[in-house]
Amino acid sequence: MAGPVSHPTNQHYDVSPAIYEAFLDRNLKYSSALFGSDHDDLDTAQVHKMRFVAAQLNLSGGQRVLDVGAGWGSLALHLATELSCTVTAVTPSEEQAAFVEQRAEARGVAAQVDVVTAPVESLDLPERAFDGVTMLGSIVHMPDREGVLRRAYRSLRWGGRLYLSESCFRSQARYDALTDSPGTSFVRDEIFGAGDMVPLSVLVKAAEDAGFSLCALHDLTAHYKRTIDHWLANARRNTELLERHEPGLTDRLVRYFETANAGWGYATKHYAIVGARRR
Amino acid sequence: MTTEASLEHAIRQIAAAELGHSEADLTLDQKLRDAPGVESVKLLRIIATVEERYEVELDDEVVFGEIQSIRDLAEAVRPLLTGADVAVGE
Repeated sequence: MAGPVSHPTNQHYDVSPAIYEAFLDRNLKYSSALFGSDHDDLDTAQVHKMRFVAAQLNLSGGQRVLDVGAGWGSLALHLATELSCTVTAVTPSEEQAAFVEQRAEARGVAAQVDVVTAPVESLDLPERAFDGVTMLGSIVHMPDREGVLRRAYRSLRWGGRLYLSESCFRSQARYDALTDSPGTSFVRDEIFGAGDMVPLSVLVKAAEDAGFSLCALHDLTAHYKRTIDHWLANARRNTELLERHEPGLTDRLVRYFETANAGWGYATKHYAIVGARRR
Repeated sequence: MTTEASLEHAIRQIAAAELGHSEADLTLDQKLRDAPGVESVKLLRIIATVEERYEVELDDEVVFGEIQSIRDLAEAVRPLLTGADVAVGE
């Protein structure tokens, strides 16, 4: 299933995992955590989040899951190790793919984790092959949202579920007013490489048009803000390490995190939707 | 008691801290967007701090539209304050 590797988002993601180790949790989950209490640390809240995702997909053990935008493999490895799932982990980044393969090997689940290094748009996915599809913060990088969701839909068995979470402008009006603001442009062009933070209504329409029945909507905004507060504190604490990799990197990350956290609730929201292939 | 001006001054303090200016550099009637070093992110942070401090929620039309100056912001906040809230700024 190999495809072309060059991808505009890779400038942010196709770099050494050591950079991400400087500010993420121990599983390198680069998306919102889910805090169960005031006392949860980031590691705990990220594991809690992955259990939440598994529950949303009705995964009880041994299912087949397609993870689109697998990042550093936190969710794929969690599902393989904790729930004995078989996971196809898709990322266009060679750095990420190599890292996920190495961690899968180290955790003894290499046979259950198939890492595919390609943009999902280029893949010929098997039909009705998966019990669940996960897309955590990845569809923002995919201009053909509906096409990707159609592929996800067709790859699910009857009754299978999609979990999709994304950062969204909180309305079309906010999108229109702010999508080209300095803050948004900085995050899009300097951090993500490519991305379009559409309002949730656009994602819901794409999911409907792809055929999904929608089962749930979750507002994770406050959790993402708290997650990023942790990343911000970690990045500031590990400035020396970050600067060794790339001078000025700490400032760029701090600006990204501060911009994101200023916008939550006012300009932006972080939502998860759950869809199913069913009547 | 909070005098009419004290809300303005408390908000000026919040804005100055966020923008890294001295309070003396910010007049109550200056358009906040025109102050040096201001971008939408900093304006949002000022508004978030004001909302948190006074436990108020400003309408989107206010947050993203009308507010031009510290005095405008104070005037948007004032009608939302209860007697107990007003003392918070002291």
